[in-house]
Order: sequence, then structure tokens, then C-alpha cells
Amino acid sequence: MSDKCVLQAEEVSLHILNKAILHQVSFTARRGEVVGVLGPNGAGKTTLLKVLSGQRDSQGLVYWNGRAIGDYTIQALARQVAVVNQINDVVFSVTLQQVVRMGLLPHKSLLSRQTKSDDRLIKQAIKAVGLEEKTQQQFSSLSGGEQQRTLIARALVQRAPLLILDEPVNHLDVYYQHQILQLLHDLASQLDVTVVMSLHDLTLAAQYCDALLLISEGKLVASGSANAVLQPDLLSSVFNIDCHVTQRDGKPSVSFSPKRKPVLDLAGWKP
Amino acid sequence: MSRQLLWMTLCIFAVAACGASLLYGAAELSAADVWECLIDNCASPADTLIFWQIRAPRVAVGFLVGVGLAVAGATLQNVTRNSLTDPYLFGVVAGAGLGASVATLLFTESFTAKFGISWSDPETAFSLALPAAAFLGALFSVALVQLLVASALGRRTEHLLLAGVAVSFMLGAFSHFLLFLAEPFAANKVVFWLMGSLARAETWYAWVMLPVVTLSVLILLLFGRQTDALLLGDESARSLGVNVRLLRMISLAICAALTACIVSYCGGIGFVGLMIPHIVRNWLGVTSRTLILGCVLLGGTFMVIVDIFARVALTGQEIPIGIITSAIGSMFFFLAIRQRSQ
Repeated sequence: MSDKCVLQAEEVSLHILNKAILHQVSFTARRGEVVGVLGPNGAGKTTLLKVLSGQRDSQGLVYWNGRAIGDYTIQALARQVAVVNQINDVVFSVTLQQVVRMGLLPHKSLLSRQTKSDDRLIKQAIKAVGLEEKTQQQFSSLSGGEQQRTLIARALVQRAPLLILDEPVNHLDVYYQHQILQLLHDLASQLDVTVVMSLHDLTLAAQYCDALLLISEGKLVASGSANAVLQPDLLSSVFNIDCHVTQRDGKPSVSFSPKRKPVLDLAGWKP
Repeated sequence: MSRQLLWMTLCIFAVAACGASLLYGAAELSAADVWECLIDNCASPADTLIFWQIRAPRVAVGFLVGVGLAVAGATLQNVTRNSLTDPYLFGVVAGAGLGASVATLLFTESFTAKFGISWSDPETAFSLALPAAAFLGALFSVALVQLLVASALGRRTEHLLLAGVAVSFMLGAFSHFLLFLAEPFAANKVVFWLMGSLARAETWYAWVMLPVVTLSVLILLLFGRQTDALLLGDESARSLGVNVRLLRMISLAICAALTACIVSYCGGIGFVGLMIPHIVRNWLGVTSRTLILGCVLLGGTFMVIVDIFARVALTGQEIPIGIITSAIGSMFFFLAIRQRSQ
């Protein structure tokens, strides 16, 4: 991680129908830093990531490498920012390999051909996410976790210095949660890729992220190191559930004590 | 079957179908006569006339129409992300038909006399105005469907289909009405637009279609990788650096151009653009470049074969080709819907 601050959000706000989805969110990230975006459902995590990746306009400014995101051409931006989103409408039976190959697109002009080194890159990326057995399988037939890993492989092929992921470990089993987060961590530490991702698992976030952003109702309520952000009182009020934070291997570990009160009032309800 | 073998088979079939189509027809031409015409000069002036004025243009136009419809269908399906559409169902054919009807109306004697327009060469003017007007009509229908979907319906498959069908009926009704105003024998024209036919194929049709079809195919191949990115949705494509709106506009304009030049000369031929891309996707794969090239080969071949059938099935008269494609296509449509719902 270098000291240079490459990603900068300045008072990012977004209103939809007079409702503030994001309210004056400002933060910075350094090159090679892994940033975790935390917050309850509907807090604005996904929207923030979309603004950061230039997929949504907002009030306020986002700078990447000292240049406003909106000033990049669409193809130049794709060479700088790779996005991994959940995909849920695949219409034709495209294969895993074809999806990964799409990552070459920002680096190709209309006339250029696919080279041997492109093929190697695709193969490496598929291997990195552990899917080399399923190269020719249809994307839509893969499990949610495998689709997620395929899209991460596509982002690897895209070779962008900023990687933005919306809940990349959703749908993944414990093994692959750690595997993927370690992969992202390695990308950051070894290749100086800056990673910004939203996560639900607070302990995992503490383990793998260099910095955390905690968002609640569109506002940034805390940011900084895991120890600074994962405060029991703050978490309890943001997530509306009792949180306990203990230290494990120098990192905070979060556990919850739910009130175990019935949520549903089933009196008089007979199926 | 390996992919190379499949491609080779498709090529062989294409050549064989064209050869067969040169052999069959109302007039007697033996294989030897056809061969002679192809490599040298025909044996008799009558053969020359039959071969170069009737048979060859028909095969060429038939093949190009098949290519154009299949490629237009594949492109429409790709950019609307909907496998159940083709230029016919999407309303592009009806739009082109409306344009063509307007051109027909503008060139009727009663109309030109009324407004004191005189063309120095009315025939040439008409033959140029017809595809141009059809193209504008096709663009209009594409825009209309997009507008309907964007404003009220949302991008669901069913909505896109319904919007296409609605626009198709609306523009169809309008153009038929215009034709009835314009011509004493309008019913003939309407039947021609509705059913489609290769019976009027002439050499110069092929010369107009060839550059349009070739150029369209080349542009689509050029944008193949970009179109592939749409397979995972607009947002995903945009994040890969694709200008989705521009790509969609170019692709739809190409569909309109292809459909317009086909409809101008051969009327509305339905379902080819639905069937052929479906089959090519199953046989060869979904990526755009493969799909387009597959549609070129299979679309052309299919049309030529159907045309042979249209000419020889009933002795003494030929069946309008659109009847046959619609008959096969509607069944195919049903099967495709069933496959989707499973």
C-alpha cells in the first residue's frame, strides 16, 4: 500500500424522489488499500459503489487518480475500474470462459484480435478463482458462488487498478469466502490494486480490509481502521441488535446477542 | 460433431442448395445446361434468358433475403436481449411496409397529377424512393417500439413482444389503408406485402441488396465483441466500456436497413429471423461473431431451399414464400416458447 491517495469521494449525495439515498459521503483510499463498506440493508452501500464506479451520477465528486470519474471516456474508465455486481438476467447460454473473456474488452479496439497472451491471461484468471474444471459450462447453470467467482475472474482479466465489488462473498461457502477475500487482499498487496467492496460479515471485513466505512441511512457514520469502526455501541445502534466485539489475533471479532423475542405475531393465524 | 466439421457442412449445404435451386423451376434446364451457363455461355439464347434473367437472380435474391432476415433477427435478439423476436414480430417489417406504401402512394398517377409533380424518370425515381421510404418506415417502427417499452412497459420479454406486435398491427393497418386509397388493385399489393414472395426477383434487386447486406454484416462483425458484452446485461456491458446506447442505436438501424431493402422488393417474410438464430445458437454458440456468420450461411441456405419448395410443390403455380416460412416459423415459435417455460 502506498501513501498516495488515489480514490477520493467528496460530499457525494444522491437523492431519488426527494429521498436522500446518500448524504454527503466523503472519504479517501490509498493505492493498494482494501476498503470494506459496511452497513445494514438499504443503507446505500450498493448505490455508493455505483457512484464510485461511475455507473450512477451524483452530486459531489469522485476522483480517481486526480481526475473526476465523469471526465473519463467510457472505455478509459473501464480500463481503470472493474466492477463485480450480482448478475441475474442471463438470456442466452453463454459459457464461463466467454464471460471471463469479456474482461479483455476495454483493452481491445474494434479490429484487434485475441492473442496468445490473452488466452493465457484468461486461463490464469479462471485458475485463480478455482474454476478451471468448469470452463465450458454455461454461466447460468453455475451456482451463485461460482457465478460470483467467474465475474471476479473477469475483473482480473480486465486488469483495472481499481476493483469495486458488491458483496463479493455473498453465496459463497466459508472456504471460498476466505479464498476470495485472500485473493483480493493479495491483489491489493502484490499488484497495488485498490479494492472497494461491500460486505455483510463484520468479522471477515475486519480480517481482510485495511479500512472500513460504516454507512447508515445514506450517511457515513464511521470510517478508519477496523478497531476504530467496529465499536460495540455504534454497531448496536446502526444494526439494531446487541453487538459484542472481542479481539482475536489483533483484529476485532464481532458477535451478536439477539433478543430472541418473537418477531411475528402469530396469534389467531392458522395455516 | 466438431465445430470445424459443422462449419464445413453448412458451407457445403449452402452451395448445394444454390446449385439445386438453379436446377429446379417451371422451364426445363438440365444439369448439363446449368453447368454450361455457369462456366461458359449457355447453349441457346432461350437458356441464357431463363438462366440469367430468371433462375440466377432468384437464387441470389433468395440467398440475400435469407441472410438479411436471419442476421437482422439475430441482431434484434441480441440487443433487446430477447430470444423471441424477429423483424416481423418486432414491427420492423410493418414499418418498412408502411414506408413502402407511402412511396407507392406518392408515385401513383392520380397523386402526381394532383400535385403537379413530374419525374423525368419515374421508374428509377420510384425504385430508389421505395427502399429509402421503407428504411425510414422501419426506423420509425423501431423508435416507436423502443419508446413504448421505455415509457410504459419496462424491458420485460413479454412487454417487448407485445409492444412489437401492437406496433406491427397498427402500422400494418395504416399502410393497407394507404394502399387502398392509392391503387385500384390494392388487394394484390396488400397480399404481396403480407405474404412476401421472391417471384418478382430481378438481377438489380440483388445488386441493391448485396452492398446493404455485406456492409451490415461487416459492421455487426466489427461490433461483435461489444455485442457479446450485452449478454450479461446493460450495466455489465457499460462497466466493460461499451457505449450501450450507441451500440443499440447502430444495431437497430442496421436491422431497419436490412429489413427495409428486403421488404421493398420481396414483401414481408416472417419468422426466418426468429428460427435461424435459434438454431445457430444451439449448434455453434451464442457469441455474436459466430452467430452472425452462422446466420449468413444457414439463413441463406434455408431461404433458397424453401424457395425451391415454393416453386415445385404445386404444379403450374408457386406458393408465396412467406406462407411457407410463417407455417414453419409459427410452429417453431411455439416450440421455442415451450422450451423456455420448461
